Amino acid sequence: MTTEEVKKETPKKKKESGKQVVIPLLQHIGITCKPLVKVKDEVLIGQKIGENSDGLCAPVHSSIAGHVVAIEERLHPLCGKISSIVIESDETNRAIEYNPHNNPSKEDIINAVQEAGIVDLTGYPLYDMLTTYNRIDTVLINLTFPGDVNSNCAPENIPKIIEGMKLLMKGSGALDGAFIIHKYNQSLSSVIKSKLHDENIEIFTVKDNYSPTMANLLAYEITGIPVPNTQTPLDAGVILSSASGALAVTRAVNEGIPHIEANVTVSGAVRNPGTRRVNIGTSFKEVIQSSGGYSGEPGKIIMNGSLNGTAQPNDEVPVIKSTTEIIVQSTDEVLCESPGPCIHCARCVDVCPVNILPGRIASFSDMGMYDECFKMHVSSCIECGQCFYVCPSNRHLVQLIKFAKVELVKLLTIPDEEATPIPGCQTCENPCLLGEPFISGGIA
Amino acid sequence: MADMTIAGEFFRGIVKDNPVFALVLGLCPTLAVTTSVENAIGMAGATLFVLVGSNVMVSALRKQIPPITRIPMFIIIICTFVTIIDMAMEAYTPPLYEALGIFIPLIVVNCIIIGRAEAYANRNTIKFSVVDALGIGAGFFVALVAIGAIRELLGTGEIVLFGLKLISIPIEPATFMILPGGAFMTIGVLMAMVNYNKIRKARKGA
Amino acid sequence: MKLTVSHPAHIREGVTINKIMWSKIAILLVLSLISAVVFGPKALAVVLISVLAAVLTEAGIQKLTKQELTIKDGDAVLIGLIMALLLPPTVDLWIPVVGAFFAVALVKHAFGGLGSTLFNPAIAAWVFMNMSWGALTGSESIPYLSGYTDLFIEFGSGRLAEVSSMVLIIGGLYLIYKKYIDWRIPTLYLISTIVMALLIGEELSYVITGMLFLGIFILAPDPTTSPITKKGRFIYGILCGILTVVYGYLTYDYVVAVLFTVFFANAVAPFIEKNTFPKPVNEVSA
Repeated sequence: MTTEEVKKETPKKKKESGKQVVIPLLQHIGITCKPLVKVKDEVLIGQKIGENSDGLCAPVHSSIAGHVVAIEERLHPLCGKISSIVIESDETNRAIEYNPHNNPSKEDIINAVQEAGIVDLTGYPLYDMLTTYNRIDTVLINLTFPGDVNSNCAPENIPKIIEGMKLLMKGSGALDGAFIIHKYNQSLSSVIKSKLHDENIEIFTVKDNYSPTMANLLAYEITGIPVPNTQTPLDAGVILSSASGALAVTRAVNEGIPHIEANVTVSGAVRNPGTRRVNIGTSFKEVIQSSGGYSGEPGKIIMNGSLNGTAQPNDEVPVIKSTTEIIVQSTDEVLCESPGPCIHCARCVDVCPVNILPGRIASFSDMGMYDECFKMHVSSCIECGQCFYVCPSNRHLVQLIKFAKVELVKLLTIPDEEATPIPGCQTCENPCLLGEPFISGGIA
Repeated sequence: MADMTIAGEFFRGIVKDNPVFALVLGLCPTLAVTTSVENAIGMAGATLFVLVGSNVMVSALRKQIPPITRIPMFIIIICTFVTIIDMAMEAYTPPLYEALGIFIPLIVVNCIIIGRAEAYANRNTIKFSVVDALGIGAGFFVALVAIGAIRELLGTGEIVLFGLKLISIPIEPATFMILPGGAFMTIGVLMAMVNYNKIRKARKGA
Repeated sequence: MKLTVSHPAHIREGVTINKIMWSKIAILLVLSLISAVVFGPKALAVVLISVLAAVLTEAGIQKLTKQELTIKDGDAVLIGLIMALLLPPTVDLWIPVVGAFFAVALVKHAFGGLGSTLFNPAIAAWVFMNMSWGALTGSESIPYLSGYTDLFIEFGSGRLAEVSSMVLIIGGLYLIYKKYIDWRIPTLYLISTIVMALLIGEELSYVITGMLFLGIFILAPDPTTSPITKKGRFIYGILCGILTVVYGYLTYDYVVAVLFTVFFANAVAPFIEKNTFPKPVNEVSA
């Protein structure tokens, strides 16, 4: 799809952040950070500007040097409007004093990861994975998601990813580690094999691509322990992270730099597609402009993958910690046919990774028979989008399944402590139009 | 209940409460004997006789029959009339008796008769019970003759009534219509046509 | 700049109902051309009249009930075409018209249109025609495979569909390759037919006819009337095979056996489906 051009990071060179960044105070699954700065304050690169110790929270840091222009609600790529800190650049590169760790201990690693506010691609703060359970026996890094691999697995980054794996193993107390690579991606596995000199780290090959929302399924595939939607891979004894998480861990522990940059691949209807290293908070518009701008009229802007990604309302949304891909669809690529009747061709049944009957459930949901949907195990759906991809009748399968799940939550009245809503929209009971997967009884 | 008129009750049995198309009762003899118009008329006539007789009796005795034993009582009354018509048909119309066969004694369990006895004759005066029986019987007659006519016409190419060839159309007869499958199909299509307006009104209103 | 915000996913594979139907129609058109060569122009007339009647019926019904016309997706054409192929070439031309009307109006639209039919419309119409005018729709000769060349042009075929098994085999394999029909039903139907025939002791050259290949690749895996669960399709294929051989053995007519088999199997498909629902992968057994 793209060629990889990762810009060398030198502190003196001017980054592509442009004039202003918008740092949302909620870039993870958990509670919103409270701002630590006020309007007109001066901030440096890497300075912590928001945190909240009352619950699950990953602190946010400034990615440029400048002063705070405003703290107000701004558009967020995943959930409506979130309180954000708007910083105007002063064109310098003054940073805080970083303190790297040499030969860190387990507690050093956990502290560094927590202070750096590292958020994995699934949205979970990474330190929470390291501290929740005592018994983790394997650390898995998922290298099958194309967006993640294209952005973060350039050959220069491979030693850092391996280093990140070792740090995660030490930080969690796991004895083994494994990279999960797609069976046909020979080049990546050979590069990793050549740089790997540790007997405790292996390479597993799988035959499908697993996006971050399919983490439970990947954990089941590797360990053989079924992980239902109310649990996470931690319950199967594994930590499942991604290349971007591993890179951020390496930077945080070895160099002391918090999670303030991301590698983003821009593809689709732009003049110069490729991978760019951008500061967190840069608007999508600037990232696309640095890729040559739009070629033609854009129809849809999608973040993080065409099957599971979120469509954006405009291009002013900021890049957040879990952004790895921006896809621009031109107006004639946008899907707009009206759905037809289900012809029971069973193509959706053949591709469903969880073994349910998506077409049948969607038909029941269309007619409002939600108790039938419950009997057909609708709550096992992980919303991967494969059924929608193959349906010849253009039916909106994923959307109908989501409606069924939401209605079932209302009908079955799951107690409050089990049905945690989507982060950010604390009272939202409707299926998130911006695309966050909603799995009743838990969140992805 | 307040404004029942004789004409109203009679026509209700034919159109609004047609036993085959609206109440969907008594389909078993309907499907079985409508292979020709002659058989249909015979069955409808026999059922009409039993219906009138049993309605009159049940209505006359309705205050004497204790509610807890009413079903066996109704069956006894109906059996009486069925036996009468059975013997009469065996004596006076032997070919029709042969054609209808087992379905004459089976009028006993025809749901129309016990249904009307329970739902109407048990609660109304003799006058209205007779009118209701005549109406329902007429409705049954209309339905049976319609189905029988279609099946016989398409299945044998002509309608023969008591030795008189009424209509004859120059088609290749479709044997399927004489078989049970044709019966189900004809009833299905006719029921859809009869109830089409009702369904359309309900859908518009709902 | 107006951006569309819609629910994931944002791309599709591009397979539509039109593509599936028209590929099947293309295969059957090749078959009908070969049958026109073998049987003469009468065969072509039967096919054309049948297709025309089916299309006109569908257009008429959809106009009368004020729905939008869906002739373009090829379903009416497919029904008319299959129904014509099940008739002998000497049939009177009004029979396919009546059959096409029955199939499209009563079996397809009265049950709810595309995707809601309980029986395959072409098969149900054929059963109606066979039971109504059996003498006129019977075939005049019984085919059998006397050698490998019979796979190309069959010796003794009585109905239009039996002329060339090779077209159906190649076309069917193409459909399986493109995943327009699934592979379980054709494979299992063929295997269980052969196994059952060997068990009963019947000569394979009578059992494997051109109609069997039509049944395997076009009639039995029809999406609407076959079960949607994977295990269900397995069982359905095996059931079809067993029924074909049993019916053919008892009535000495393996051609009609295929058609009645598909008819009976369609009747039990919902039952098979209901009892083979899969268990989701990530449910912890409570």
